[in-house]
Parts: sequence; structure tokens; C-alpha cells
Amino acid sequence: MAIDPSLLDVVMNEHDGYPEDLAAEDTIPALWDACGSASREFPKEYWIEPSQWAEVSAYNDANKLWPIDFVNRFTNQSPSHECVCHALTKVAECAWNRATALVIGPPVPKQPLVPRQFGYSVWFSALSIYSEANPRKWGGSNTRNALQIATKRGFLPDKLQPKPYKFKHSLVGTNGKGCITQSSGDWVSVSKFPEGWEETAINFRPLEVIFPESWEQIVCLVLNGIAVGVGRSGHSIPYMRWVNDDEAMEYPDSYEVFRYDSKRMVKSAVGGAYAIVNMTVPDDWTTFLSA
Amino acid sequence: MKRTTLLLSLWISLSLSTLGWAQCKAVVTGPKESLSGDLVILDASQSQAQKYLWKLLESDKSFLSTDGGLKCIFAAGVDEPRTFHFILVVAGTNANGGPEVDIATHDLLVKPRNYTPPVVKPETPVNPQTPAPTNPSRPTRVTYLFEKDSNPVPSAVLKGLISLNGTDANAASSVYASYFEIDGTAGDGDVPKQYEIAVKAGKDSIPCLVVENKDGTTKVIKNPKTTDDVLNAVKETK
Repeated sequence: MAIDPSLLDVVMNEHDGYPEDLAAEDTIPALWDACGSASREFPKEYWIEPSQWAEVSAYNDANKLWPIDFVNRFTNQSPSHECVCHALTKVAECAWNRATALVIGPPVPKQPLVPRQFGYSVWFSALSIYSEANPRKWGGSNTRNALQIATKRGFLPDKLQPKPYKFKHSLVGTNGKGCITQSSGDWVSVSKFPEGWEETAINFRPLEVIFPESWEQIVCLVLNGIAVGVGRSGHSIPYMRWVNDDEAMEYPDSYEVFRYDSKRMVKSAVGGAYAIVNMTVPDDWTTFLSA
Repeated sequence: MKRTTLLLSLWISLSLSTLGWAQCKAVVTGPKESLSGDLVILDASQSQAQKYLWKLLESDKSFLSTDGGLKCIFAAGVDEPRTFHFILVVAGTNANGGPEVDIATHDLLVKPRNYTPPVVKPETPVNPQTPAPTNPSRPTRVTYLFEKDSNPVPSAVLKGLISLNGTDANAASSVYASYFEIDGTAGDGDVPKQYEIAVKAGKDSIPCLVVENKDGTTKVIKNPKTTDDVLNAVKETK
């Protein structure tokens, strides 16, 4: 596959939510403390020898087992500083969807869903995390802060969903542009969240988070079908498919477009990387809290 | 069937390129039943078209198209009742003078001579409130139980679970498949209700597949590794 150079190693002119000073706080010990009992080391059973990456990649290609195959939407943060939370929601949605063993991806930019893409997917509100991570709205956040919030009390569902679930509480997806698969709207501070929102959010909470310590571990997680959130060069993104022939990582960027990071860029993103392997699971995939 | 469709498409394309001025409608008249060996004439003369094409679907029998396609002559010998499906495709023009095609179908039931329908024994009355018996051990659900720190979900196993739920290539089975990490919980911190049976049956055997049957019984398959391990686990026992 020949990657379009304009999509490779894309770096914004200025940060869009992952500024250097906040990024510096994302060390593995800090992330570990932030997630508390949800924190996990990279399990050695997840290691795949680099000599086998080509074979595993081919198997994933043939059987649609990449993280991106369990994600059915893009988001659009422009011009907000919500990148960390947009990446986090996609990593969480991947973990949620993958457990249902339904291939509903990959998403197609700017396209509505077709029926096979519904599954039991739930779209989480990025703003429901970012509002608490940065009440000042501008300036971004870091992974430590966002993960701490998410693992402690969970996400609120986006007001826009792939199916007409009857959630008691939901929130606009982003204060940015949004898109056909993400609602957008005015800023909502945590104090203005719908009353009783915690009882809904607790059902959409990461339970186990792995912190890889090398770029190879990042690739191994993705080869195992687990999305990895990273922050680098002022921007946070979710890694979702390893393109072995090009040694590049594909990600659905929070601007409704697929982009790629080279191996060099992946190596730079190790600090602050995380993977959600386990989300809370509903009592029944097909039913949710009713209004 | 695909070859028939292709031939029809080619005929339509060629016909549309040589049309004059007439509106287009396909009409077939003729008998709907006949006896084995009798000659049947299907008539397209009430159609409005310039070109006519007859096709007989899914049969190796022959027919004769005459009078410029206005008539279709057919005869068949059968040992038991059989329905033959004819298609008439016509090409002409629409009210604006543009090319148009139309299709009409005609089913012909041919019965053997001196045909006597078999005597159908009346069924033993069944209490309408009693559903027809089904296999009580029919699998309804399969769950791959595992501990994340011991192993990831094997790709081949996940492939099997996905296959049961249906993909672009194959329809969903009647068994719902998923995986559950043994430390997972619902929002309230308890084992999700949908996995209570599986966890109870399989928690001491992980990694394993837990097959739940319609009658409430379960089956545990330890350490599955392949796609076939998953698919074989849910095959119904007779």
C-alpha cells in the first residue's frame, strides 16, 4: 500500500489539545497512579515477535480483526482542543464493540452507517470527559487527566447514537464541529450536566488499561486487536491498524480522515500511550436504561 | 440463472439500439395448466412492442418461438406435476420515444396423464398450545471466557465468534457469540446478567468456551484455539 505523503506524520502548526507542558506529565508512573486499580502492565502473552508481524497482519486483513474493524465512526473536534478526549472515546468504543464479536468497521469518512455497522455500538461523548478535564475549554488536556476521569466515573453517551437507545442521560458529543456521526453543540460545564448523569456514565467505564513501554508493545497491542491511544507533537490520536508493508500505523483522526504515523513517529509516541482492554459490559447487549 | 440474466441483458442492450417508434408493454396469454405431452401455445400478440424474446427458466426442456416471437410453442412429458416458468421480454419505446423494455412472466403447471394426487394422511391433531418439539439441547449462546493477563482472545477464536454472529460473507447463525474477560463487570460492579450462567459454568476452566443450550444446560470446552473449535462447539447434538 502506498501511503499518500500528505497523510503521513501529520503535525499541526500548533497543538490542538495536547500541549507540551501537559504532555510532559504523561509518564507511565503518572498514568498508573491516575488509573488506580484499572492499571495493568503489558501482559507478556500479548507479545508477538516482529518476525511474525507480517503473518499476523495478513490474518487480520483477511478476517477483519484490526481495532479499526470494530469502530464505526469518525469524529470532528475542529477547532476545539478536545483531541485527547476524542482519541480516548475511540479507544473505549473499540474495546466496547470488540467484546460483542461483531465487525462493524471500518468507518467511512462523511458517510452515514449502513445496517451492518450498527451492532451493539454506543457512541461516547468526548465532551463529557473534556468538560471536567479542562473546565476552561481552551488549552487542551493530557492523557493522565482524561483517563483518571474516565476510569473513575465513565463516559456519558453522545446525544447522537447509531440506534435509538433510550438513555436516561446523554450529552452533546463535542463543542467542536462534529459530523454525521457525532453531535456538536455549545459548551456544557460539568455543573450543567443532566441531573443524575453519574448513574448512566458508570455503565460506560474503562475497567482495565494497559500502558505499553515500547513501540513494539504498541504494535503488538494493535496486532491483538486492541486500540492504543497516544499523544505526540501536540496531538492525541488512536492507533488502530498496523500497515506492515509500510511500517506505519493507521489512525482515524478526529478530523474525519484516516492518517498514518511512520515507525519513527510511533516510537516518539510511547510515553503516555495506553490501551483499554476491558470496558464495563451491560446486563444485556440489546437493552439499555430507558427514559 | 446467472447465464439467463446475462443473456437477457445482452438481448436488451442490442434491441434498444435498433428500435423504431412504438410504446412498450409485455402481455402473455395462454393456458396455465396442461397435461403431459399436450401442445401449449403462449401468445404475446397482446403486447405492445417491436421485439420479443421468450425464456424458460431452470429447465432443460425446449420450446419453439414463432411468428416473429409472437408465439411460444411448448410441450413436456412429466411423471409428476411440474411448473414451468416462462419469461417474455419485449423491447419498444416509451411515450417520449425513448427506448424501453418490459417483462411478463407466465407459470405453466404440467400434470401427468391420469394423474391421481397422493392421499395425504391427516396429521395427528396437535394441541395448538403446544409448540412443535425442538431440540432442547440446541445451543443458543456461546461465550469465550478468559483472563486477560493469561492470554489475549486468540485471533482464530475471535474469528469463529464473529462468524457465528454473521459477516458480509455469511449469514448469522442462531447462536449469539461473544467474549467476556473474567474480571469484567457491569456498571454496578456485578457480573453482567447475560454472563452469569457462563461465568458460573466456566470460571474454573478458563480459557474456555461455554455453550448455553435452550434447556438451560451448558457445555464447557477447555482451551479452544481454532475457529473450528468454536464452530464445532455449537453444533447441535442429536
